[in-house]
Amino acid sequence: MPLAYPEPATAQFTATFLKREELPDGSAALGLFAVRAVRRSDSAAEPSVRLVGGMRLDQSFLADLPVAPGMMIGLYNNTNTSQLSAFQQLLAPFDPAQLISQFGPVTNAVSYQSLIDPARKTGQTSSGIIYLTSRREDSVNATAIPLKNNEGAVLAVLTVAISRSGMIEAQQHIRAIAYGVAAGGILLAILASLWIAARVSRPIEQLARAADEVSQGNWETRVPERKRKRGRDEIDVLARGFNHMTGQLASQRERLVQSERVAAWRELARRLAHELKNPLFPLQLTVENLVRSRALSEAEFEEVFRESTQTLSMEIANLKTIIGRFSDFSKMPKPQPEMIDAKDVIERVRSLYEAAGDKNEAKICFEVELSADPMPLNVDPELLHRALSNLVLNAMDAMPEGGTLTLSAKPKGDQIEIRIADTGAGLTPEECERLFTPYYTTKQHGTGLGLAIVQSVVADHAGTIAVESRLGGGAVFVITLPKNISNSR
Amino acid sequence: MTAKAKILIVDDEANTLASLSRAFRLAGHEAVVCDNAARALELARTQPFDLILSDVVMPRRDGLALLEDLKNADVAAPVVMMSGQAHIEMAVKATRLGALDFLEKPLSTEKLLVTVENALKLTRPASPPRSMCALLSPRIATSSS
Repeated sequence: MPLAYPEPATAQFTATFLKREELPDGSAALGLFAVRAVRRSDSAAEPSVRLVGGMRLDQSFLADLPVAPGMMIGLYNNTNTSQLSAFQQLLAPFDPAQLISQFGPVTNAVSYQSLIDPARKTGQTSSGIIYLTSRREDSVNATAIPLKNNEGAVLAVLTVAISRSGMIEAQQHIRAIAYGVAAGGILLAILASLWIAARVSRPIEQLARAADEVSQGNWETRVPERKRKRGRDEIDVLARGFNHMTGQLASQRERLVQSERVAAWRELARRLAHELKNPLFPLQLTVENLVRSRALSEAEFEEVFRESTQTLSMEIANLKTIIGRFSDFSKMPKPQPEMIDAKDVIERVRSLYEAAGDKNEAKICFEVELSADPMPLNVDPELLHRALSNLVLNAMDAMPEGGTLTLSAKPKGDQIEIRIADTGAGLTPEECERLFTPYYTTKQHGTGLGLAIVQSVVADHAGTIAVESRLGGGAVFVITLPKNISNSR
Repeated sequence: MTAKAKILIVDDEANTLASLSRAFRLAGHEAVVCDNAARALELARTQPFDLILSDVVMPRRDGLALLEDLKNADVAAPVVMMSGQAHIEMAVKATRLGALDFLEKPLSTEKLLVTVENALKLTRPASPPRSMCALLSPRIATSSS
C-alpha cells in the first residue's frame, strides 16, 4: 500500500495535506487528505494499515464552511489548467473559470486576478479591495490565501471576500450625519449672526442713519427704542439718549424760532420808533414856534408862518417816505428761485443805472467784469436785482464827485461771488463794523433799511455779505451766493 | 430875563436846524447854524459863542468827535449835546468829554430854552450885565496881577 500510494505525507500519519488526485473517471480534483494508521493490538511497532481519506475541494466543500452573511469563499484551482509542473503552473495565465465559490462559478472572477496572481506567484497572502462594478458599493474586501502542498507548490488559492456595501452604507450614513450636523451648524451660525445683527448692528446702523439725518437738519429724527423692563443694554441707553437729544434739539429750535420772532418784532418796532422820532423833533419845534410867534407883528408872523409851513410839509413828506419804506420792507416777498445766470442780473442793473449815472453832473463810469465761465444761480431774480440796485445806489451816493463803479462776478467753488466796488471816500473800520447794524445810516435822509433789505435778500438765499474798505480807498461790497440753494439748506 | 446869547447849532438835518434857530430867535437869542462837525469847529474857533448845541449822530465826524476837537482847540464855550438815539453810554461819554448837558430828541421848546438859560447861568455865575462886566474886567485884571 505505501508503494501503491507513494505519498510522502503518509509517513507522518496525522498530517493533513493538499493533493491533486486523479479520479477514476480520468478527471482530476483537488482534495484535502489525512492519513491515519491502524495498529494491530499485538503489534506496537510498525502500523500495518494506513487509512488515507480526503475531501474533494469543490463547491459543496465551500458551501459547508461556516460563513458570515455577505461573505464569499472562493477557491481558485491552480492545477486544473493543464497537466503542467508546479513551476509551470505558476507561470500559467490566470483562468477565471478556475475560480469557484460556495455559490458556484464566480461571475466577476476576472476582478480577483489582481489578488490571486500575487498569491499564486509569491505564495504569500495578499489582500485588497476589489471593485466588481463601477459602483462603490459593489466592492469587496478580499484576501487571497495560497494553499500549498507539502512541497510548497501553490495548488489552490482560497479567497475570502466580504462585501463592503454594508461598510459603505455605514460610511454614507456617517457622512450624511456629518453633513447634517455641518449644515445645522452653519444654519445656527447664520441665525446667530442675524440675531447679533438685529440686536447690535441694526440699532447702530439706525443710529448712524438718524445722526446723518440730524446733521442734514431733520431734527425730529427718532430711533426705535426697545421696550424692555429688565436689563439695560448699551444700545438701548444710546437710543434713549439719542431720542432725548433730538427731542431737546427740536424744542430748543422751537424756542429759538419764537425768541427770534420776538426779537425781530422788537427790532422792527425800535427801528420804526427811531425813524419816526427824527422828523418828529422839527415838527414839534415848528408848531411851538408858530404858537409863540402869534405875539409878533403881522409881517414877522407871516415870515415865520411861511417858513414853518414849508418845514411842516417837508417833514410830513419825509414821514410818508419812511412809512412807505417800512411798508415795502414788511412786504418783502418769499424768494421764488429760478435758474438764472449771474451775468444777466448784473447786466440788467448796469443798464438801469448807467443812464442815471450819466445824467448827474458828476460823471460815474460803470465797469463790468464778468467771468467767461457760466455762473448759474438758483435765486429769485427780482429780489437779487433789488439787492444789487440798493448797493449800486449806495455806491453812487458815495461818489458825489464822480468816479468808477465796478460790478464783477466770478465763480468761486460752488459759490458765485458778486462784487460792487466804488471809488468814493471809503469807510473807516468803525463804520464798516457798524454798517450792518440796524438803522445805521450815514445819509441825511436814509432810513438804514437799504442794507437791511440787501442783507435780508442775501440771507434768504443762504449767502453772505461783507464789506471791504479803507478811508479814501473806496468801498467794495462782496456778496457770495451758493449756486444752488437746496444744496446748502 | 437873562441876556441874549449867541448860540451855534450843529445838526445834519436842515429842517431841525431851521426850526431850532427859529425857536432861539423867537426867544431873542442869536443863532448860527451849521450842518457838519468840521465847519462847526471852524466857526467855534473863529467866533465867540455863548453856547454850542450839537447833535451826536452825524455822518463823518459825529458830535462826540466834535466835542473832543473843541476841547483840543481850547474852545471855552459850553457844549450841550442832543440825540434821538440817546443811551446811557453815549451820555456818559459826552459828559466825560466835557459836555454840559445831554438832551434827548424830541424835546419841547420850553425845555430847550430852560436848558440854554441854565447853561448861561452856569457859565456866567456872577451874572452881571455885560456892560458892567466890561467895565470891571480891567480892575479885576489889575487886582489879580
